[in-house]
Amino acid sequence: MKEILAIIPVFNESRHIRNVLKDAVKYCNVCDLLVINDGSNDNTLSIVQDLNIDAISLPFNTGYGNALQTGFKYALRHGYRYLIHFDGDGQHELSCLPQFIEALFAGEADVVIGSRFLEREGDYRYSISIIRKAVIYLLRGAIKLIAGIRITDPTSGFIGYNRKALEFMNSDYYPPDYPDADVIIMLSKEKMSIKEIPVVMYNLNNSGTIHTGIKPLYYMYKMFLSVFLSIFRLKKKTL
Amino acid sequence: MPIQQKLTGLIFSILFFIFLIELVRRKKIKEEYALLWFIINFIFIAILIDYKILEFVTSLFGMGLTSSALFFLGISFLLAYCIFITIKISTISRQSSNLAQEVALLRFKLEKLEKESDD
Repeated sequence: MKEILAIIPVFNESRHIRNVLKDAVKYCNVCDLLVINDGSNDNTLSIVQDLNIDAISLPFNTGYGNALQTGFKYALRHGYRYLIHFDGDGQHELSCLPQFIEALFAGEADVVIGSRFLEREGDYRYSISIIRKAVIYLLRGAIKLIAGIRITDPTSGFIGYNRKALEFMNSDYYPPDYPDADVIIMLSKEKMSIKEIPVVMYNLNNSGTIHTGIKPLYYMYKMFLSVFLSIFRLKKKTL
Repeated sequence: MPIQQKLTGLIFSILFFIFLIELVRRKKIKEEYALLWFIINFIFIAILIDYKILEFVTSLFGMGLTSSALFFLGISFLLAYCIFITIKISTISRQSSNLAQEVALLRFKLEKLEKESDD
């Protein structure tokens, strides 16, 4: 068993998963790979099994956050020291994985977030819609205001944790349907250090993947409610 | 209250009572969730038998019309019950997600063990 577990939550990713896993094997030879199959009804699972990679299958589709938490539980129960997760749709450039591993091993932070917005020698391939940009700016502002830290990419799905952070992610505080900015605030509230590293992400047509299950409006509602509630949790803690 | 009104109310109340009993008997609803409906059913019958109860409640809330009090109480009950059900659903969905995680983790472990014993 290796020290790092890399988990890839997937839901109907048969188009991309093969390449993602090949890249993962290539760039993360110090990691154990684990696919969390969130009730896919295409042949995603058989592709994963063909490549001889471990896969945990949830009995039905439970949502992105819940799939992730299954991986967190697995990592904790099997004594992994670090965990990295990235998406199975190929939007994350996995050649960035060694930087995560380096940052985690060096103990630079408890949580390492891959940001598509931190400059990276002109290697900037991600353009987003105005609405999405506005949401990201608002979330950045909320994190800065509530947690007092600067996070450029609050909706990143490319994150590494050490064991201390993982234990928090496995607690009741973890919002299991769609964790993002609220988790960053809660982690910082728990005095976890958070560091961003620049990564490359690609724009994808995400139809039929894990990101289309939640409608953008619902996502916004949920995220801002969750961020708002984290203020009160913060107050309660400091009393 | 006119006798016809009283009779209609009583017939509906009794039918509703039988319906509830039948649902519980067929295990369509649990006793726990039927309790509130039984209480409502009895309150309704009590009002039909003695209209003074409703008049008393109306004056208690400072309302002019007994019908206003009835609507107010009815809607309040439905709201409270909806929130109760929402809490229940949220709890159940959290529990089912946790169960799904555990099932997935156990199945994975079992498959690993089976593979090892085959080798």
